Amino acid sequence: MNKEIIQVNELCLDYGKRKVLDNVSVRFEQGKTVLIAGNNGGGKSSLLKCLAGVLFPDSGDIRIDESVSKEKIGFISDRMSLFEDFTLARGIEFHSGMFKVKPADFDRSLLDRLKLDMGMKIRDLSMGERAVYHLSLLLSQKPEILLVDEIIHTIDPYLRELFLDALIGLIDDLNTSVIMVNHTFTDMGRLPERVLIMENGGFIFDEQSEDLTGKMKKIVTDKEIKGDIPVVFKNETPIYNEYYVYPYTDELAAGTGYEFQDVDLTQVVKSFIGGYYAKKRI
Amino acid sequence: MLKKEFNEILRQSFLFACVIVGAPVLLSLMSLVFGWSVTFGEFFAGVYGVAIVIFAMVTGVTLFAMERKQGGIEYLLTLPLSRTRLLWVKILPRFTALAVFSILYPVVLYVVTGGKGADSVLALPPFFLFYSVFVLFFLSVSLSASHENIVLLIIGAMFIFIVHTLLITSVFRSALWSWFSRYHSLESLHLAVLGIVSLVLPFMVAFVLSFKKFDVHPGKRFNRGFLKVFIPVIIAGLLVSFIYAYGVGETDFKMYYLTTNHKLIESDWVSARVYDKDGGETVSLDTPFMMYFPELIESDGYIYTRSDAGRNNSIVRMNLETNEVETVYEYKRRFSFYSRGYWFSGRTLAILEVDRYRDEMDLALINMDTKGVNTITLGGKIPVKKNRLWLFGMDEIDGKRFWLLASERSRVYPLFRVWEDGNIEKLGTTMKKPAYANGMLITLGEEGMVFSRLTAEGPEEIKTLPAGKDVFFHHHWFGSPDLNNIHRKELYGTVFGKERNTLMRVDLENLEVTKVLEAEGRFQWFSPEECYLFSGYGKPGKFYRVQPDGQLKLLRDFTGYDGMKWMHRFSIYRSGIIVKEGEKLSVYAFPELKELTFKDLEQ
Repeated sequence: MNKEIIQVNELCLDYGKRKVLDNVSVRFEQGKTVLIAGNNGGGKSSLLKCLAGVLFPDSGDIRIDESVSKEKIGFISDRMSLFEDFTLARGIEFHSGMFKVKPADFDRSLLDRLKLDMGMKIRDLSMGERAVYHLSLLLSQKPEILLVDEIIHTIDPYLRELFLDALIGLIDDLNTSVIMVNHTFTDMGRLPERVLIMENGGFIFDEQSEDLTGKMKKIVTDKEIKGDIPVVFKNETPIYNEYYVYPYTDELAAGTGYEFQDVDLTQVVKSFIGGYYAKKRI
Repeated sequence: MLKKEFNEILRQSFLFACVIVGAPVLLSLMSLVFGWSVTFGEFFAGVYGVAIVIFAMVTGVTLFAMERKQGGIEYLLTLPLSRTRLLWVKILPRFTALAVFSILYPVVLYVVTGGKGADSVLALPPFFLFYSVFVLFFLSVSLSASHENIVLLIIGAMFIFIVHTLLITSVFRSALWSWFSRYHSLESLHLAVLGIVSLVLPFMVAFVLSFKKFDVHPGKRFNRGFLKVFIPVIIAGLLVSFIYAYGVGETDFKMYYLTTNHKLIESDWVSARVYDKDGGETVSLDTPFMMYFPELIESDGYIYTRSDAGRNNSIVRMNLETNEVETVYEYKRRFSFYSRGYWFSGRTLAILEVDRYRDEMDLALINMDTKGVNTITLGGKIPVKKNRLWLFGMDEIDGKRFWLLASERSRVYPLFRVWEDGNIEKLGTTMKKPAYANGMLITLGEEGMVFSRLTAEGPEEIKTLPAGKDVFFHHHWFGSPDLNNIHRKELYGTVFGKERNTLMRVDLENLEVTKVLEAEGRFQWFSPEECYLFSGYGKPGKFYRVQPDGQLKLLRDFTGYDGMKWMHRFSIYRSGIIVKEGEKLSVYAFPELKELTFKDLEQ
């Protein structure tokens, strides 16, 4: 097991009467890429913002390994917050100055591929360009922790690939811990090593990616299933029903006689989010 | 980050500079069109003063406005700066800019007003300006995280500031004038300390402590944390303020007056006491008295003064033998802005009831025998709004009585004569406070001091003395009940200098002005035989009589008394002097300056 780089203990956060984080405790390891998913309002972004220090919880604490200074934590918010009136060049100069990066050490290779005019204002960038520009700033910090909030789905496939390649390079080169919040997983299947799913301010799923196929299965049938099977979500179609089963054990297959099929990451997340809305309807 | 903030404040400062130059230029052009008698320098002084106060509030409440506007608040909070450091990085450039503009204010004021400085017509008192600028700045900074609406925050800061200023000046009323004094005094410094302790510190302490948890949450949440700290701190601040005020004796504020029969009258804001000398009985009165000239005069065995008891503002008189108090006149308006000067003419007491904001003014003539009041309405006939009016004389020609009014506005004072039948005449203008004695009107024109005989038809100019005889006729004489009732050979006045003042004699027969004496200190003149000099401001106190030949005769040495100290006052009356040194009160009676003692009075 890798060194624990972030410890979150009994974190609680309210927005008025709404509980956003409900006694959340979790550990993150050095060099691991973690994906946090869940329904809207489940608490994912709030947790990430707490980790980034832009939100303060009502109670509980976050302990970041002492070896990690604030200069080594990067955060891209879902709004891709930057000083929009800055030109790209001024933004780089400012960021480098704040994070003690020598101008000569600033890696412009990502930006060069977009052929951006350094004299243009940040506010004039497209969402995808802005995401890559923001990531370039953060990469210059050589971050030990990188927090990325729901932006990947907003950028086009070309820039998404560019973005993800840069992330993979970062993890490989610097052993950076990456914590991402996202809904869609196109092109991302290879990246997360651990998947967390949040609902109502707490975790309902926490598995290593390599265990996913073993821990969650689905039953596809045109009949109602019987027996004591832990179904998290039932997806009904006119022809058949899909029953997502978690946790799956080999004993279930032997005892029920159903055929349990493998699921991918997108299906895992979809089933939990679907389950949440199904429960709400009830 | 600091560079970014300095750049930001430089941009705002540039806008500020454009306003303080552009607006006076525009106003000067308008004054050419409308014929206003205000110079560019005076406009500049006024605009600078108002603009810097607004600038202080705007820079304070917009501490995070730029980041919010640019959507960069989350980015700002991820920068490797502690919250405390972030706060100082934000405050320092703004504070520096305000400090520079505030320090420049008196300098620029002096230059653009041609040396008039704080005495310029539209200039704000520098000390009050400094106080307002920095208190409003820190107040605005403290509120900057509580809401995103900048206009609301500015209104909030202004509201809190005004309420607080009214509060402390209502508790410490003696120092009220010092806010608006052209020059700071120890009292204004004490008020500033009270303002900082009971307003700035609670807000800033609460803000700095709650800012440690400043994040992207809505302001409501920040405000909860703020209030948790603010409530105990403001209570502590108010307690410390009261202890401080008590320590300097301010909460125990009292005014004094020594009558000609040597009774000492003491008044606070709700009641008064009359102490009789040599162990006589002390009488307590429910009526407070205003004890300052020209709102107090003594005549015919009475003192006449203003009394503001609760909602009933009135003129009262007290019999000096029996201590009985009766109301002479009740103001018709709740907030009457009573202007200077009572004027006796035989048994008629004349007073002005002025409401400068409603443009209303009455001359009330009170018959002291019948208590009947003849009211002459002057509002609408004499400009009242934004003018300071006072009575400065009365007389009688061919059995018809009239009263003289001066209206102070800008650099020229229009003069009016009001006849008893209600007729009003304009008598010209003067550039300094006028005087009237022996049927002679004394004014100051461009050429110098002008002597005019006042006839039924109007003033007839007799003589003009060259400019430079800028004599200030002390307002005590305006209230003197006998000024017009006896023939005078001469009047006295002061020409004020930076360090030394000069007593001048105005000969009313030869119409000459001569220098009597130049000295450091304050002159007090009642008659040629009753003229005094006290020098005790920042140097050992000495009290002299000024002889008619201009020689000084030392009456008493007050070494140890320092008029510059807080709650030290040296008051000279026709009957004697009252010396207040903190809690210690000493009363001396003319002519020998014998010290008087009073039963029940802590001396």
